[in-house]
Amino acid sequence: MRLGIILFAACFIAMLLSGCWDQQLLKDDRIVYIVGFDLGSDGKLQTTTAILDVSGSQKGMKPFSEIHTVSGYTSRHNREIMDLEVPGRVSASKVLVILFGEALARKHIYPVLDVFYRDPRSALNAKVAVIEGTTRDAITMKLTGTKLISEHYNKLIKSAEKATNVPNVNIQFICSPLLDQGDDFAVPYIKIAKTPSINGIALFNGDKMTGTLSREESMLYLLMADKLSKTASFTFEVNKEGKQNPEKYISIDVQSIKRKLKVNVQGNRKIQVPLDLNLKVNAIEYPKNHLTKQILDRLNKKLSKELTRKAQVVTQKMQKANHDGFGIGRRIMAYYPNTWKNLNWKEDYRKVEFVPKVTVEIVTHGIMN
Amino acid sequence: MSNTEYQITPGQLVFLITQTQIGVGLLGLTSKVHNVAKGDAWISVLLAGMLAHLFIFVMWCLSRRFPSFTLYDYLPVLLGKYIGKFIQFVYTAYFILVASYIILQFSSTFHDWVLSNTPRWIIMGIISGVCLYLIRESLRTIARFFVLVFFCNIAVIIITAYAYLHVNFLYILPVGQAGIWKITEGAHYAMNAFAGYELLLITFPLVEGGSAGKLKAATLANLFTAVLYTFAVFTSLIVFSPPEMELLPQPLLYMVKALTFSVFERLDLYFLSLWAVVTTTSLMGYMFMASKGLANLFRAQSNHQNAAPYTVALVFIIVVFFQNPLLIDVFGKILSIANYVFLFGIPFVLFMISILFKVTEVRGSTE
Repeated sequence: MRLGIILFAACFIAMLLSGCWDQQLLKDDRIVYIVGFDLGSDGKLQTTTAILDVSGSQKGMKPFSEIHTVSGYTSRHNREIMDLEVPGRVSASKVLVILFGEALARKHIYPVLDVFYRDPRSALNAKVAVIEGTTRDAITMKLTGTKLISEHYNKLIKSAEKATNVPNVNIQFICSPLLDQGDDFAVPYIKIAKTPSINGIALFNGDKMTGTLSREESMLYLLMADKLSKTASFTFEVNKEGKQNPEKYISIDVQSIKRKLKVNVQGNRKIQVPLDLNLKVNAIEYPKNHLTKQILDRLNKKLSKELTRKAQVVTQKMQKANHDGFGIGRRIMAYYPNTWKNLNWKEDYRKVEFVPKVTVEIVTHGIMN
Repeated sequence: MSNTEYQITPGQLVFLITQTQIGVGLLGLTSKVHNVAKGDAWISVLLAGMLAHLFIFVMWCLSRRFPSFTLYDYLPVLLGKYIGKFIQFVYTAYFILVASYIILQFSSTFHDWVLSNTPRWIIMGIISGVCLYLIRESLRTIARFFVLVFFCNIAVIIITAYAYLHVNFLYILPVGQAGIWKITEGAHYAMNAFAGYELLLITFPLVEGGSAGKLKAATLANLFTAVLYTFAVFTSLIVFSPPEMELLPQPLLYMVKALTFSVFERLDLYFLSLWAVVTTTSLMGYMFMASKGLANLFRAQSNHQNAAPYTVALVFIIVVFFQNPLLIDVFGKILSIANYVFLFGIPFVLFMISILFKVTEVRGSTE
């Protein structure tokens, strides 16, 4: 009897061991590392992907990207079509970067992303960026180096994040502000000329791209949003009278920031947002030298004035794009719920009065004066 | 009466109750409560915890009058043979249904998140098998296992705490936005997840020491559960914006899925693996109570061990034939109302009867 049970158990377990229903062998999967979405000329959605391919020889393995472009109705539909032309099963579980062509981004991005949010296997930590032009050009581009195209974009975005050039976002982080009325997000904006390069950020309103900021503006935007990453450096013209060109400039590296953002509601409609930004910076390059107390004071004042002016430009551009990147709407919902009910945020956001004030303080200047 | 060898310590009772309470319900808790109470969902959960505590107190008052009897033993004493047997049967059926509901939720969560191609009955079979393996042991062994598994909760807390890298506290402001009525309604949806403390009714005589220690143990257990639930719900609330929350049936898992470290990816898989163990203990708690009831139906004061295989088989049959998602939903709603009857209504009535007719163990046992 006992032996019988053991035998039965052994057979049963052996049956289970033969394989699982849900196993996905790496050897059967073709892993997509980068995917780009464009608005096709016929109004369809065009998908371009780069699939990692490793060709073996005696000398060593050399990976290269196999690129496919298809068009269809939805992102899933495109995957089905792509599966027909790719040997092996296309798997999007390791996507590193998702690119949007500007034309599509200006229309909508949520319908395209839906499948990524819905599929349990998708990589929610994929980076997002908008390409000036089409993603097809961006992905089929021949790079000068030996890096794979997917790796190139991934590293490009990640290093820009560290330098506070672009916000640190992935498809999961953008989802909350994307759906929220009182908050908006921005993603890296990439230009492709000879080589892809970060060209500031693309501002979104809901799931539509509505504007852009240049590199310098986007840095200031991120500082104003209290999102200093590892470093953030600016270069400014401070001396008109310098002899040679480099002597006119100073480069500063932001070390720490203190931001105060308030939302004042006067009456029921008038919304004022004083934004105080205090930067402690390191003067990393000042060819003119002799950073004495007086000069530092003068520079501090000059930089503060310059940055305050630039901050005003940033808020103007944000309002023009209807991009509520500092989550002012969320704050009103939280602190002035009654006011919020009477607002039509799409219209009223533009009427918000931003009062940015940036104070710069040079606290260190390297190992020389 | 109960054999001292089968007794557990009050410390073990804490883990026994906590582990029975915490289960698969937590994963869907946030979205269920958020649907009504919005940003105040965490207050609802706290409120539900307090309400659960009141229920525990009533159970304790009742059990204290019969220090060496389980619920099944004193039911006939209080209500007479036939009604007593009937209530006993209803309780057993309730525990079996709750156990089935746990398996159904568990398998559908796993089906959606990880094992989408695996037939459901395999998942159900595996969890039932594991359950049977432990339920056939004595209560003391079960309690020891529960103590061990308790540490899974700690890991779960640590994983959840990582979400604090990207949170927005504005999502829960203004506090009290939903209004008292909605918060109370939210508490109703959270009550389901707190269920499990009825274990006190069954294990009361099986715990060593005086009744004060047992109340302390149950209090501590419920407190831990309430804190863990509130923490989990609060975290999900500040991670997801309200419109996104409405789209997510399991916000906690979704939140964990988005976390990435340099070495680990898809943390939800690790989380679910841990959670499978935690859910299993919750299931074991209910299976234990059901087995005890089933055994008592046939022979008074008999042990749960002999009835365990029948209980597990019964539950397995129910879940295999009952997989329509719409029906599961209805099933859940019925159970959430039945909760009040079994966790509060009946114990309260019994307590009143016991006071009014001055029935306590001494008089009862002479009958």
